[in-house]
Order: sequence, then C-alpha cells, then structure tokens
Amino acid sequence: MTTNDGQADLVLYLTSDSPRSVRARDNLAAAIDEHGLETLTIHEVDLVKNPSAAARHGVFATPALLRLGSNGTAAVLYGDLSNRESLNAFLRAVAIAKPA
Amino acid sequence: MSTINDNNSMLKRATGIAGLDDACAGGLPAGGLVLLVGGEASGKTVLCLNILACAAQRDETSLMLSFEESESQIRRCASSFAWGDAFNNSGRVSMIDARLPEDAATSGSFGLDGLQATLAHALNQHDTRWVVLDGIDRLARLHDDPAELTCQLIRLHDWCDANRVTVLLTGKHDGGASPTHARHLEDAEFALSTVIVLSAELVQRRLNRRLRIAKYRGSGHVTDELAMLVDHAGITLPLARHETHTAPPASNERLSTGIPRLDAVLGGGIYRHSTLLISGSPGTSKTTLAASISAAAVARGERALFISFDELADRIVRNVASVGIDLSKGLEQGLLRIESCASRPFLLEEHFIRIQQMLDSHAPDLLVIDPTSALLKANSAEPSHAIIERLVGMIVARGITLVITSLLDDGTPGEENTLTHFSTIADTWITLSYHAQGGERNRTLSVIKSRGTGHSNQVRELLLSSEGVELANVFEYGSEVLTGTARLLMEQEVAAQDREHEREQRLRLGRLQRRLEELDRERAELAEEYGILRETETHDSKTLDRRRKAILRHRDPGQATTRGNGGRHTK
Repeated sequence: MTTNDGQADLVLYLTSDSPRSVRARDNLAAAIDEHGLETLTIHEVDLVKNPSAAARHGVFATPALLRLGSNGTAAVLYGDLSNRESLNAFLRAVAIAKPA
Repeated sequence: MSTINDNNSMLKRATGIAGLDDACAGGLPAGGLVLLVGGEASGKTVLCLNILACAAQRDETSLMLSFEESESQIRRCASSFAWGDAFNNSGRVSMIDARLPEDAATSGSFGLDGLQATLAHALNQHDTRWVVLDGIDRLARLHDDPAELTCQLIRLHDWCDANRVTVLLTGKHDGGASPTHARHLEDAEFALSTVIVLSAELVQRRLNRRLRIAKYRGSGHVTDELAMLVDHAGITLPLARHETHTAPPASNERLSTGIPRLDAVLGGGIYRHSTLLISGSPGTSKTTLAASISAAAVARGERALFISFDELADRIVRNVASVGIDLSKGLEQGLLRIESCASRPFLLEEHFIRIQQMLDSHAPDLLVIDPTSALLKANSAEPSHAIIERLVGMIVARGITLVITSLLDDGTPGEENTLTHFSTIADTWITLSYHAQGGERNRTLSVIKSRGTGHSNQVRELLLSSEGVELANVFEYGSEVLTGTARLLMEQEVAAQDREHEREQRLRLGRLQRRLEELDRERAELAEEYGILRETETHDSKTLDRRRKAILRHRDPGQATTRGNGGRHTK
C-alpha cells in the first residue's frame, strides 16, 4: 500500500520492525479495510533507515501517522494506533479532505 | 563502551560553565540523560544554550531539538549573550524544530525510538556528543502512561551511556501546581541518575536564581543550592568556584600608611597581606585615611585598587587633594585604579564576581573597599555575612593587603553585628571619631586592635590640613587627653608655667652665684690678712729675739756666749 512520496495522503513513520511499528501497520491496515478507504495513499518511512526524515516534519515519537493538509500543515497521530476511536476520527478527517 | 572508567570512576564531560564543573567535580556524565527541571524564567534553556556555545567554541558539534520554542526564538535568545555568535554562526550547533502540532493526538502508546534514531544519525554523521531536548515535557504530556514513558527514557539513557552522548532534557517543574507536569517528570526524576533543579524566586523584589544538583549518581558533587547569575556573559555560579590561589605565608614586612606618626603607632605600618578595618561615623575621614594608604602604596611603586560604593572617582580625587593627598599621579601611571559603583542594584553574588574580575584584570597589591558595609545593602541568596567572608577569603588568598571601611552603626535592623563581624576578620582595627569638648569637635583616631603588634592605647588627635594628614603628638600633660583649642590653651598654659619656673630657677641660681662670689672675696681677704699676720708675727719674733740678745750682750757678755754652749743659768 505504498506509493510515491508527495502524493501520499498519509505518511506512517515507523522504526523498522519494532513491536509497536508492526502493531501500527497492522492496525492501520485493519482500519483501512474496515472503512473501505483503500483509495487512500500511504507512504511508509522507516526512521532507522532514514533518520533525517524525522526532522522534516518534526516526528520523533514513533509510530506516528501524519496527514498532510491542503495548505501544507500536518496533523499527527502518535502511537501504535491501537486506540480504534482516535484512529477512526483521524482517518475520517483524511477521507473528508480528499474528494471522492 | 560505557562511561565507567577502568578504575570504576565516572567519565565526565566538562560543560565549560564557570562553577558548574566545579560543583560537579569535573562536569556532567560523558554519556546518558541529564534532567534539568525548573519553573518559569529559571534559566533552563539559557543554561543549555550556554553549554552548547562552549562546546562550539571547543569545535565540538552539538544538536538541539526544541519542543517548545521556534528555531528563530532560540537563536534570538542566544544572540543576546556574548557567546551568541559562537552558537549561531559557528556551524557547530544544529537545530531542529521539534514542536508538536497543536492538534497532536494519540492512539495507543508511542516510543522514543525515532528520537534515538535521530541521535544515532547525528552521532554517526557529525560525531555529536552534546544533545539538548528542550521542553521534553511537551512530548511527555502526550504520553498517557508515565511509567511506560519512564521505561523509554531509561532505554534512551542506556543507549546514550553506551554511545557516550550526553543528552540534556529540560522540563517545566512548577512544584506540583499542575498535576500533569509534575506527574510525568516525577517518575523520570526518580529513574534518571542525574537531575539538576533550577529555581527563581523574588527576594525583596530582586530575582534570585539558584541551581541545585539534586542527584548525581556515581559522582561527588556540591549538594547545596547555589546562587546562579545570568548576565551578558551567560551563566555563572560564582560561589561554587574553588579559589585557585593559595595564601602566601605571613609577612613581616610593614607597609606605610602615608602618615608617619600613625606608622609609629602601628609599629611601623600595617603588615603586608593583612586586613585593616577603619570604622567610624559618617564624616570621620575614613575615606581620607584609605586614600592616604593607597597613595603610599603607589609611592612605593605598587598597584592599588580603590572600590567605592559612596563616591564617584573624580570626587574622591578632588576631596583628598584638598588635604594634600595626590591620587592623580597614581591614576596617570596606571598603578592606581578607582572604581565606583552603587551597591543596591546588584546582588551580593554579582558584586563578588565583579570584584573578582577587577582583581583579575588589575592585579593589585592593595585593595580598598569603601565602605564595605554598603555591600550589606545588596540582596543575596545566601546570608550576606557568609558571602562577605568568602569575598575576604578570596582576597586574602591572593596575597592582597586589604583595607575595609565600615560605618559604625547604621541603626538598620539586622546589621547590629556588622562591625563586630568585620572586626573578627580584620587584623588591625582603627576607629575614627569626634571628640566633643569645650564647644568644639575634634577628630580623633585610636587603634582598637593590632594583631602582631603591641600598640598604644592612646586616643590621638587626627589633624587635617592642606599640608596633609597628621597625627598630633601624644599629649604630655595632665590626666586627660585634650584636643583642639583646649589642647592649645593647655599647651600654652604649660609653656608659660615652664617659662615662669625656669625664670625663678635662673634667679635663684643667680643669687646663689653672687653669694658664692661674695664669700670667695671674703675668703681671699681673710687669707691675705692671715698671711700678713703670720708675716708680722715672724718679723716681730725675730726682732724680739735680736733685742733680747743685744740686752744680754750688754749685761753679761760671757753668758751670752756660754749660752750657746749649753750652759745653764742657775741662781
């Protein structure tokens, strides 16, 4: 579910295959399936392989799910995404912003 | 590769901040997390910036992640200090804006692995050894499980320890007023091995900042709350610094005060390296006396520093010039320096540093602080007397001869023991006073104590005139020491008496002399008489004899001749 950077609706920051990172990936996939949001583009960034990416959006706590707003601002959801409620709220905002 | 040495002592990294390295016995740990907590305006961020600037000056790279302020705010803050250039323009300090978005939310728990990855990257790319995470409590606040967060911090700490990276975390600590803040950091405080607490409080309207090393496992450290000053030069802990000079051995050399009779009273002058206290009510010429001692030092070719809290330099020069003391020559030659300063606007610790800096730059042999009691008007975090003792200790350790002046008694509450306190520090104590008598006030000087010298207990009159400062001769007459006009009159009276006495003596002697001469003449006359009489008697006796012989010859010629043969005339 990864596409080119810059076009992505969501960016998922991970740290290799740490337990939290695995959980976050799984939780996100499950939520996407549940709400039929397969059209959303998700870009994964591994901060262990690519540490300078953290500075770009100031993401140091991981895992973190970032959505880019239309005017370049970013909203971030920190955590392994195990709290379904807050994850859903976050995804809803993305879906609303994206037409069709 | 950890921060424990082969002999089990801790490896440290010097911060470069005066006093902090002393207080930590060498510096902060060379690897691991150091937690800096403090309230508003306590100086946490400035302390971190200062440490990074010092590192930059040593050509070491460092990294700062700001979770609270923007990069431009931080850089602006740094530029207000003397080392701002080193921080902003040396290229040695990398800054990352790590501020969380306003609407940052959480879903589940997060870790600090990303942070660790960033630090690892900086270490690999630039050999970054100093890292600051400023405002980490912002991130901590997001975490819903403080225990979990603490675990993550410990993991991060272990990584830093293993890789010899020192990370300074700053966080707000408002004494538990806000439950969220206190909760997160409290656990961390327990868990981490190095914690420094900063505080700032208003004491009599002055801001007093303090630093306390709450915890430093694995190292000895100063445990007291230390005064921390923030000024243009950055952060200083003035009283943590060890005095590097050792006091010279006691000297037998006497230094002149510029007043010969006073030198005589003191057994030659004041001892070099000793402390002289001059006390007296306002207007009793303490400054004049101190100025005379300074001028005497300059005349010997020595360096003197005169610190005044009462008067401006040019006024002092003018005032003492009117009594014949010339300070301008010493100023021109650069041997004398006069610094005047108000005491109230600064903390006592700030005065301590300024005096220390002046001693470093001018390197005097003699120091005058006039009046030292003015220092007590300044606020301080520690008890004033303790700081003044340290100040005097610092001065004496440098082998400087010290002259302190003190007002007798301000009448200010809490200062009753000032003079007693100063007097215990001083080796010699001279008190100046006014002696009111017969409608006049005359200046007096007396030596109350003089360690190492027997001294006169006499109260002497201090005479000021355009020719100079003088001590009057010891008053020789009567049971009471007189001064001023009374003395003058007494002296005249006594002089008149002496003259009278002398005159009478002369008369008496004259009379006796004449008597003697008379008697001499008499004697001479009598002797003459006696001589004449004796002569006459001899002449008479001879005449008598001749006559008798003539008669005898006439009456009995035979008898006259047999008489010569011893015949006796018997009938």
